Amino acid sequence: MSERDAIRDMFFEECEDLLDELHEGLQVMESDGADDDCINAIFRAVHSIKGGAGAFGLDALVGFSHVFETVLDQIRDGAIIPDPDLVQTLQSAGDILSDLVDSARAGTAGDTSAADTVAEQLESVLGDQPADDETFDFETISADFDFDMDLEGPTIIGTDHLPDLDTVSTDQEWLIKFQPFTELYATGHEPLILFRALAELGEITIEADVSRVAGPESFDWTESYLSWEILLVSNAPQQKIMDVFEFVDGLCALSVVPQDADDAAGATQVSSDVALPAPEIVEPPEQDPGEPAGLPDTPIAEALPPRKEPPATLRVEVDRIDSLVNTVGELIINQAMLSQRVRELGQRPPPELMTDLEDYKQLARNVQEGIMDLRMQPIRQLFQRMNRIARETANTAEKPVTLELEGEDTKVDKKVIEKLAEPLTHMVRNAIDHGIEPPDKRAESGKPAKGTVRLNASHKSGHVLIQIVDDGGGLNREKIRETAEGKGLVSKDDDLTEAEIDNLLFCPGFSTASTVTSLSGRGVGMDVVKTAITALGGRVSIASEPGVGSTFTIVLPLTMAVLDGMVVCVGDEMMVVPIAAVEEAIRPKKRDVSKVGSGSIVFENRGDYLPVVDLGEYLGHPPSKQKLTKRTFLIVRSEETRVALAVDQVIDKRQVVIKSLSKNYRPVPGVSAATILGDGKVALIVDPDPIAIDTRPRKTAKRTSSTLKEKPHAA
Amino acid sequence: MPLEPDVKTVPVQLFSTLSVAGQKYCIDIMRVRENRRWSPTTTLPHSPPFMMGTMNLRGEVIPIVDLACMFGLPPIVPTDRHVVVIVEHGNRIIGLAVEAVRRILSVEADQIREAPGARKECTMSCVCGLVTTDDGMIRIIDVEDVVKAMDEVL
Repeated sequence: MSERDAIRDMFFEECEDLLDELHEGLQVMESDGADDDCINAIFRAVHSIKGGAGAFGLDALVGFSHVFETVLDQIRDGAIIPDPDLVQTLQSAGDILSDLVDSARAGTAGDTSAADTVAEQLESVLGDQPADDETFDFETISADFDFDMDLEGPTIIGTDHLPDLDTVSTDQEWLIKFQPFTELYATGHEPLILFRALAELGEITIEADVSRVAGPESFDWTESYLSWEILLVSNAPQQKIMDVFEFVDGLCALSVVPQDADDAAGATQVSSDVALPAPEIVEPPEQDPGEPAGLPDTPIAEALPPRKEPPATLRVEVDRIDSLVNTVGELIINQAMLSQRVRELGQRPPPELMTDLEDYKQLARNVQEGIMDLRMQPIRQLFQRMNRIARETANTAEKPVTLELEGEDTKVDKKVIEKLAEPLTHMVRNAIDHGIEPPDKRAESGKPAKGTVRLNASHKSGHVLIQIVDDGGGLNREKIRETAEGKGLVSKDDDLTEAEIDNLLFCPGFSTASTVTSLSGRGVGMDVVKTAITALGGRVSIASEPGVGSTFTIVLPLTMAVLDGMVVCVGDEMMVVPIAAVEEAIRPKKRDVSKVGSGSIVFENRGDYLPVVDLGEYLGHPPSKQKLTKRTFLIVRSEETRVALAVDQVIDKRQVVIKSLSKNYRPVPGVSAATILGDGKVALIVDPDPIAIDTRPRKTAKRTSSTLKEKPHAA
Repeated sequence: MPLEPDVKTVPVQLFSTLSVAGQKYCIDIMRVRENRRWSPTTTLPHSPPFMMGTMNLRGEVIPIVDLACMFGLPPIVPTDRHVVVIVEHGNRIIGLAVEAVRRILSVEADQIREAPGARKECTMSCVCGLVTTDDGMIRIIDVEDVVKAMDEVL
């Protein structure tokens, strides 16, 4: 990659951030009105994009952002008052700008017609105003390169009181306070050399301040205890004196103050201190020598108050973090292996060894958590993107809708966020297109004309919960049932609970919209959403109340790299069942287990009869010789179906590192992935969903309500 | 592969020779990543009989194929003395369980004969050529075909 390409990439990465800021600003503008900060932020984002685009000759981008910027500038100056219509236009302009950046990045022409339309709209806004190109103020919004003067270099006191440097020709007294930090010595500097250099400038009197030298009991010979006050009589300008200290810049606290009150009016306040060394001046910043010494009454310190710095950040490629995640996964496995080896040694291992192993385990976990956390990012960006989807859908469907966002700071694995974009887009579209009623219908039922869709993210017991709530008409269950019957998904005789009917939405090939709209009914239905969410190891469910609205809930694992699992023993092998799927683990009593027909076994649990599946047999192992009552039943739920998975024994509950099985082999039904256990052996991670689905009554069998009847989902 | 130009004019290919159920086979050495001692595998559900299961190769979960079984020979009864030849195919890593790995065989390209027959037999479908050596005939295994056989859904 050439250097130019690298810089170009950097520009586009920056654009992403800028666009985020832009959209966020526009959002604030829409909801809370435009304050100066907000408009400035938007303006700065557009302006920076324009600047960068100009440097890379991206003319379309420059042209559009110029118009955009002009309007923003007028708003900033108060020449244009942003009314809701204008805010709408700005929103579309923001969307267009995103598109233009995308197409510029891809090197494609992009859709210029949409850009032209919005540009015209923007220009028409300007049309009312005196067109005045000179109002573009490029200087004021130059990039944020604020030099942190207050953090660098020796602090100079009293520059304000300096006589004009050019006029200094006669001898003057300077009081130089010089206090080296430890680093000054550590980097090989020697105060004596500095003093000699000063001596060349004039006559010097040096006085050492030994008051800080520690007593013998706490003396640290690497510490810098000494400071000096030097009275220099010289005709050299202040700069010359400062030059002596040029190479110890940042390694000492330094002040150079003119002492001659006659020559330097205003320096008197300091000059009175000459006799007594002011203790607060020589107070060293022991913790952080990089900081300037605390010099409380210096005019400069007041002039430059500490600026609020955003925490320093670092852009890192996701691949690099992923490889760290992998390595740390190995570390965890290695740790588990070590612990197991030690246990296998038989005799009681020395307690120190056990303590160390325990520490190792803890440290490995900490490292793992830390690295996992690096992959997490707030869901904000994804949610912000939904604003646009909602806006566009609302426009096309001609239903005014507000999208409310909650919990945007909820952190989610980056990979999950990436893969969530499509299903979420689909669900937001659905909520507006199918969920929210047309305005006249809403008026009839006494609802505000403007519909509301709320996106909500939160953390709940190790999972990420995302809800899409609309205040629409709720699911039309009759119609759903009718459609499903029409498509042969269910038969007329089936006795379905409300929740079961709702879940028909997720069946492949189901689409409720009687007319395929340009928005959501694109031949893909909610089953695509479900497939995507399931692929992420998550679940999606519906709760709906007629006339009040529907809530779609997505439950996702926090990360795709590790999984909380139950390690079980099946035959000679260990397997892992995701804890999320396990409702309970039960040692069955004989009276609860009964045979149905030749081979089927059902288990009575909480008033329901659940089909019993021998996990080993399902996965092709020879049937277990153990008596059923000696085994453990894991009650797993997959949507509406609950199944009792029979395993020989539950060994442990632990976090396992997810390893792909299909990368080198191929997907295996009933197995979602693999992991590596402490003994180095591969263990399969069971996917309970297909197992549960397999136990569902076939088309031929009538649905027995005993196995299927469930309480409808609580909201 | 550019080889030393002055040694031979005929290009030379290197093979690793293996013993599978008493028969001699070999694999293009460029495909072989490493040889490992046999270690117990984890059974793969719903897999053909020649899939012995999966093994952990430094954190990577790799499938292990019993070549003997795949070739219609008596399946191996693995012991500590058995060897797993780790081969690469594209991005995928696969282990081939064999009785033993013998030696490196250097073959001139014109020594390789095409495998005869209609490729009906399972063995034949994975053998892409034959080499005659002083010790007799050696069959060349085509890793790609082994992977294909593995991927075939039952």
